Amino acid sequence: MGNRCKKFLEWGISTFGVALLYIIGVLLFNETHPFSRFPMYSNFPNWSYSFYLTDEANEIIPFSSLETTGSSVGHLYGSVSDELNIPYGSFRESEEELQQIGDRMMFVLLESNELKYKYINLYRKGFYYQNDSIHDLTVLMTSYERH
Amino acid sequence: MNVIKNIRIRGLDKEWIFLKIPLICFWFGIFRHILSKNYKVPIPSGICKIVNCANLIEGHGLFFMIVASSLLCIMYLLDFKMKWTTLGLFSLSVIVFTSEDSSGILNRSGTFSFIFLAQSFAYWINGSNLLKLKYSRIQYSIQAVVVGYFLSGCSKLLDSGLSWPSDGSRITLQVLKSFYYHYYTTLDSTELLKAYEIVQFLTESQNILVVLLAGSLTLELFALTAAVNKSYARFYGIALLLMHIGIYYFMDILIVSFAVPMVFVMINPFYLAVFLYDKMFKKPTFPHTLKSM
Repeated sequence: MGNRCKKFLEWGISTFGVALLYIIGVLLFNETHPFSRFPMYSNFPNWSYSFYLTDEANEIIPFSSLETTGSSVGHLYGSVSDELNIPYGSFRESEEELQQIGDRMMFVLLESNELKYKYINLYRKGFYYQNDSIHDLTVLMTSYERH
Repeated sequence: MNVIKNIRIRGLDKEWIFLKIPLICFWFGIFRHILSKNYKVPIPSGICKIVNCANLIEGHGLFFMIVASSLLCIMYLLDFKMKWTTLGLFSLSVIVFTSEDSSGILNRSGTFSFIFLAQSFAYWINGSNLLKLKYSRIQYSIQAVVVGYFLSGCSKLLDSGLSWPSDGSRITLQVLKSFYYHYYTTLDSTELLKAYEIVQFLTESQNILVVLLAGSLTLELFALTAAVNKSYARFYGIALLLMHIGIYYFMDILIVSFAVPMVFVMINPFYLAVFLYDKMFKKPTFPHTLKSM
């Protein structure tokens, strides 16, 4: 019986040991690379945000021209909000908070990309459900002018 | 007995070669891509809170990273000093992916780094037993992949409970967001047309949506079972691939850091192709796996 238990334990460790170590890593270090509990789409809140840039004529500037993507800028919004300790989501951010987040996002974006535009606006376009239909709300977060 | 063992080792070697070549090539491609992004690490996280990662991904640091990663990739391909090579690849991977996270782009590419650590465990633990080593470096890699799916399923249960599939009607907001991301990247207006078509389809097909979400949650929660048997892992991998194709079609999202290692490690398509070719043309190159396939 003891031998059987030992064999079973050995089988368990060799079959799931690495996975178990990763789970322990997640419990200890939380969301620290390489550990993550991969919470993407683990809930479906009544909001989602996307972001875009416009030039002085209010024409949309494709993110590809800044060598980034809409998805990366979406991630950046969450990271910057966390960094500034501003709770985000559900359109709860105040105008001042949005400006703060926007300024920091522009700083990060322009830090690693050469600016080809003299003037840039950063907008947030949000989607939400009201009375079973989807609505959207667009707000100007910040404006940046090259001096 | 020794003949069978040798045949088995030969088969596992071939499986390993077809796993490691695409894996390391893809990893190196992503690694170089991140280094080319000129990140400045403005929001340090993880290891970048301790080490100044910005110094490691620009100037002399960048040169060192490229040389070291190129050398380690060659050593990995040659199976040279694998205990240290895999550990080295893991370390470089952690630094570079954390630098990306620390630039505000939380891609959650942990699986890519952890696979090398898992392979390192195989070399450190089973280095003295050839057959065990050759089996475990593949099996540990499978564990490194499936644990991510399992945790993703657990997160859904923790954050939303069992009602996650039935709460899925609001996934349409995420679909819109995702297609708008692509639209604002390229200004290709067909993205928006597709977005509204899919939103309409999902709104009108709530039952199908619940079934699809319940299916993907079940797949994720039972992902660890794929670590029990390698042949079973292949079939499980195909099911996960179908899930990723569905996510890509409906949400325009391809989770590269999840899907690609999963395909290389669990499905091992190049090995599978050669295996099927040999089987069809009656060249028994992989006799040890004929039964298990």
